[in-house]
Amino acid sequence: MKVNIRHHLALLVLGAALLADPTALTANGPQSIGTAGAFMVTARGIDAIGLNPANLGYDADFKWLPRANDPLDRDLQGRRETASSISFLGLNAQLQNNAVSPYWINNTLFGGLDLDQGNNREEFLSAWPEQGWNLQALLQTRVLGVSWRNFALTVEPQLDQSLRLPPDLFRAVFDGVYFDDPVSLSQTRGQVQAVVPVTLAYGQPLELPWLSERVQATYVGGGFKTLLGMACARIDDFEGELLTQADSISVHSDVRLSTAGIPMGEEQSASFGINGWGYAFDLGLAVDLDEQWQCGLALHNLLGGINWSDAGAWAYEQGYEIALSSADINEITGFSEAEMDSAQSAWQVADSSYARDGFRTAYPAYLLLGAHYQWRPALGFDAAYRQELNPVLDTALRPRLAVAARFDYLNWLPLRCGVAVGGLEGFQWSTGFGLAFTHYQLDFGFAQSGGMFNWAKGVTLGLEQRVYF
Amino acid sequence: MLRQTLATTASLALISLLLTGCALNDFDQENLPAWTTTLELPLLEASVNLRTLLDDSLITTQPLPEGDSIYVYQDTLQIDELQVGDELHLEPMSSDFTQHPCDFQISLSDSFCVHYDTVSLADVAETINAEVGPIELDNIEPQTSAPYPFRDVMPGSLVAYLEQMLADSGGTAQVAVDAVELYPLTRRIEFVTFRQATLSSGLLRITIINEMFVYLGVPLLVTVQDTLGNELFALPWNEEIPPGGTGSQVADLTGYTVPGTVDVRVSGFSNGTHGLPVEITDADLDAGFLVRMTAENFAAESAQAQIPSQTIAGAAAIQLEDSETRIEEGVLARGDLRIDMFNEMGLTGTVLLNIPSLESPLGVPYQAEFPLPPATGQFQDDLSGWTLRMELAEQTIDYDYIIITDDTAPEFIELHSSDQAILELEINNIACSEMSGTIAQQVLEDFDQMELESEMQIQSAVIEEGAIQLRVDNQVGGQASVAFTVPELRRDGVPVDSTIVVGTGASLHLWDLAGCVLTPPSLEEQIISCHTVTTTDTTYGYYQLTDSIRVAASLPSLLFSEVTGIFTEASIVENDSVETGSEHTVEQAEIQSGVVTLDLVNRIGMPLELEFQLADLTLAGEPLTRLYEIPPDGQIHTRQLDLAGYRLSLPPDRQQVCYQSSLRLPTDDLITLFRSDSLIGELRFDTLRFASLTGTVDSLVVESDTTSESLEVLPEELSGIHFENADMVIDLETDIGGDDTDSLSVMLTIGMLASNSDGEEILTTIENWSVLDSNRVQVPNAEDLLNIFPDRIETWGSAVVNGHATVEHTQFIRGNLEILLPFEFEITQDAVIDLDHELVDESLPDEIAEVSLRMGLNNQFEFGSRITVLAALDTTAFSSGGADTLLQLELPANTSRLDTINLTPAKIELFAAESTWISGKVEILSQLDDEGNPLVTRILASDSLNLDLSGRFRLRIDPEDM
Repeated sequence: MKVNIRHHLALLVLGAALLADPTALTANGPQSIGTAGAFMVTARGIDAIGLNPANLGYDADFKWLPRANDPLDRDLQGRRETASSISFLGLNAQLQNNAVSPYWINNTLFGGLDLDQGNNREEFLSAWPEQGWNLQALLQTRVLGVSWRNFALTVEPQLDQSLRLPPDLFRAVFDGVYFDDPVSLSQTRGQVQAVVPVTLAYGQPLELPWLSERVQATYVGGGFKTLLGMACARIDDFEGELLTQADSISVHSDVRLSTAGIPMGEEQSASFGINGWGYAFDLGLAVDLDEQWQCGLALHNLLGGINWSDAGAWAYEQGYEIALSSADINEITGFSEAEMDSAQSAWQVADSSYARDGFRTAYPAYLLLGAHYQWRPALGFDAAYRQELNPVLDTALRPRLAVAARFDYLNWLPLRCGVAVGGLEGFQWSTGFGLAFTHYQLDFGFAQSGGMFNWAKGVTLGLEQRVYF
Repeated sequence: MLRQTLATTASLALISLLLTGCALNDFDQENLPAWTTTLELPLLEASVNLRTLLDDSLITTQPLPEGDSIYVYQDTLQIDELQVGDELHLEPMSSDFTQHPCDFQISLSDSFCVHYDTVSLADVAETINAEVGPIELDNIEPQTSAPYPFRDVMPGSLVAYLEQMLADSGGTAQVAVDAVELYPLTRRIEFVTFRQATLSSGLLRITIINEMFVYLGVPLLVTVQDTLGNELFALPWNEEIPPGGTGSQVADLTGYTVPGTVDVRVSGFSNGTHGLPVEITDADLDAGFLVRMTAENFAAESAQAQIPSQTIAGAAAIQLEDSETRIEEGVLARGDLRIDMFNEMGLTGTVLLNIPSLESPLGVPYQAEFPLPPATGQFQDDLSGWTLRMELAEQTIDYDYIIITDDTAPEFIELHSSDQAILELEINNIACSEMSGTIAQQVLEDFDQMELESEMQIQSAVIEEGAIQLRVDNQVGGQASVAFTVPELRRDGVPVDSTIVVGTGASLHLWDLAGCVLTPPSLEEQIISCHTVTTTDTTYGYYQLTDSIRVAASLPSLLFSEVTGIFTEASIVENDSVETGSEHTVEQAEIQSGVVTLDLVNRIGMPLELEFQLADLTLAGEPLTRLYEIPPDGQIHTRQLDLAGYRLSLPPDRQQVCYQSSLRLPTDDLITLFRSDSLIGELRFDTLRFASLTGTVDSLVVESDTTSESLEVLPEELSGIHFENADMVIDLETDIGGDDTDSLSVMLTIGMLASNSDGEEILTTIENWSVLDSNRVQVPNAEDLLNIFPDRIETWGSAVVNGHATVEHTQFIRGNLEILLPFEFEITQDAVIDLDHELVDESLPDEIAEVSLRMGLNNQFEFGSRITVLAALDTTAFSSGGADTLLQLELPANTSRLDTINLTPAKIELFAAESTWISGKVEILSQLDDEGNPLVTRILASDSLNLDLSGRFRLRIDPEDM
């Protein structure tokens, strides 16, 4: 029976990897970064928030501590006597794109190439994906994190940003603008959102006779997140096209933005503070299959969303409709400044900013399925499958599969490395380490995606310090 | 432990290696990529027509008969105004006059009339006896008897036999009746319109109407009896009357006394059916025959009857009493017609009276219609206004009458032919207002006093020259002699007299008074008495008896050699005039400026007052009048008058300015003046300038200054164009003469000189153009003028005004020169537009590596063009041929083409310098006919050159050059 569960889990992870596609950024603490996101099953205390709240159940009554063969006990024995901790001044940062890497910048952009020579132009343009140039960034700080027994509380302000630039933009610049070949900017998308999630999580063992016969232990947990919205800006709609013909030029654009707390006009003022709020739920299940195998399943940010309030919510619309015949162009060249201003006013079919009703933005919900295999006391392996449940920040629902190894020959210096495929980052490799002492622990994580070293198209950094008491 | 340390160290080294494996080089702009990109852009969509080419608001379009429009150059140049101005004036004029106090005027303006006594005729009377005469009874209707039935007039056996036959045969039988004798049978006939009449003439027609199937007669006998059975007459009937036929006989009843009711008895035979069978029915046995009586032309000596309308007529003449007054034709001023009627007939009716001797003014004879009363009555009429026309030798008035009596029906009247009506006719109180004929002689006396109309009180005046003027107008007619006697005029102490004979109409008689002495009765009673005796003649003539002989006496001009009297109130008047001497006939003229000067010398020996008047010059309706006092010093005294604002009014037939000099001697003493006493004056007019003149203008010349107007028809760079159809019209406007120009002529002469910058000049003139007949003047040789492409046109003109009108000094002739130049021309081989050199001081962006211009051209013009654009760094290269050809393009007429021009890097390099000159030329290419001759080219409104221009720009982006 235990074999069957492993088999099903392996099929699920493999299938998800095949369906991989860009997803949301996955920075979730330096240990998670250092394991390419595979860190899930062995997350404890504060780390359980965002990974699996059911893991908090391991710290309930410390039942598992006296057990001599608990593999995790090796890390903790002699160093801390309690599962309670406090974390502060943690920082996670991730920068990601789908086109350029340092190598490309060093050798192509700044490589002194003449694109008119050979197939340089084709190679240069091939770097830009057909679906557009995606730029994502995530900045997350753990202002406060507290865990006490099987409870945990975190306050983690975060700033998400996503931008997609259309491929025609680069084609027009480097290849040219041709008659009857429209330059479309309609794929432009973007959103930036600043949120302060305040999460309270709880976990406990689940003792059911049916389960007890099949697994060693089962834990369930849940969390409740209060989402304090600070600011948000998103592109609701972006349509734009430039079309030249032998006898005319037409430019069409229609941009609609919604903001919360961010002024878009001179008559508006910034609204600092909480401009929206929301909530989300986390659910988790952790299972100890045997002495070596553990697995977990978590659903995060269920029903998550932020309702941006009416106060501080603005809408901005700007549209241009320019259709100039050759005769018009000839005429415009003789326009005075005043006539040109008048013409521009006529072309601008929309230019308004106004207070709008409050709106809602979704908070990324995802599923995590993880497993841990403790091969040797100092060497364990983790794997995780991540599936985005709603397309936030214009990411697609491509699943992500990560595997990692933890090397604990030195108890005070845990080492981690991992690799992942799928998700927004695509290929990602990672590494990290920790400085673990009796009441203090510092963790650092580093990951690159889209390639390795200078070929990487994304980088993720994580740093956290934690005090145990 | 060692393994742990080694492993940890290795792990940290690996982590460090991994973390440091990502690095960016330093940014160096020179290492940015360079590339060439392409921009395809629309550049120009232009439609060029003539208006856009020349950009002149004076270029418009004009419809063509075939439906399109052609471009025309249309301009209007003003011609300097020709204004009448000072041309309305009279040259200086003068007049001398001398006044003698003895030349005072005496007016005798009395008149009197001599009326004829009334010319009348004696009353006339006439009695008319109107007898009835034979009484016409034409109102007797034919009367028919009751039937004479077959059953009663036929033998009873025959009747029974026929009844049996019919009964046997069922109502219809074939029978043959032989001759049988009729049973005599009597029937009564009654005439309703008379009871008895004794006929002076008349016939009675008896008609038998046979309605039987058998013949009547022969013979038959019709016997007419009175109701007492006395036979009046019998008519034998020898003619057979067939079945259905009629037969009639006439009886002459002249002398018979016929009763109104008679019995008619018919007897004789019937010839049956002549033995022939005929088909009869029962109705045939009930049939019979009738007898009808018809009175014809009954005229009765007496009758007791319903008398129909009778007509009594008569005619006669009334002889007038013999007299010297005999009328041939006279219009009655009065006359009363009266007719007294005495009716003894017992009949009433209407009297129609005609008097042919009396006619209305329209020549219709007098006719009166009035009722004839049953017993007595009267008719009266006023004959005034009727014309009595008679023979001069036989003074009779003709008349006739007709009396028409009324029908007495249904009354029966007993009337005899001798009964009559008596009409007593009178015409009284006859007098004529006018007549032709003779009038008995009349002697008519009259006495009249004529007042001397003079401001002088004359005691005595010796007449040196003069006469009484007698205007006699005999409106009565005929002839008369008039004897005059005037006691206040004496010659040798004896009152003068004179007799004149006046005929019909007006006549003038002068009674010479030279040598007579006029001595009015006293200084206060300044009159002349006149006693007249008029004796009429009896000769035949036409007389207007209501009119008179009118005598008007006057003293038109008496010249005295010596006068004694009181002159205080007297004015010695001198009237004279000054000839205007102008070619114009002035009727009215408003004087704008002018002065009249009067020089006076008093040689009378006493102070005098002079009232000088120019009646033809008025101000606000008042004549120009001035009063001067002239001392008796024998010196010249000068007076001046400003005539500005005065109106000069002259009759067309008197082009003289009249003046009147009235001198007065301000003394109350009785003085004696002699003929040698005088006042000497001289009147001088300076030039009179008029603001307006009404009259007949003779050759009034109005001139204008020379006007010079600039003109730009086509670009001066264009050559080789020869316009085919140019039109220049002068549109004139004038108000000379105002609204009344029917008899006015304004003849205009205009000169026009066109010149261009090359010194070419074309002169044209229009002479003697009647402005009032046509205000649009066609300029000759317009094509010649315009084909030199003039840049200036000079115009000048003059006009001659003649005729009758009102001309004001502000009136004018002005005009606009309208130039209409359709763009219809012939293009010669040297038709080239040389474009100006243009400096391009902005170089093309360095990034432009190559330009490819794609042009879509559609030339709809009737001419083609060859366009060459040159570029050079120095303008001298254009003339020396060293310029580079930037592009060259040929565009034939009426063609469309697509062309591409590549500006290679070499050509683009031309613009790399800081300044580059561009120049070019456009050669205009005409279409040619089959023989190679150029066709006439038109530029139509629908013609245009359409250009679609787009470009492909190859841009080289090289950060190293930035």
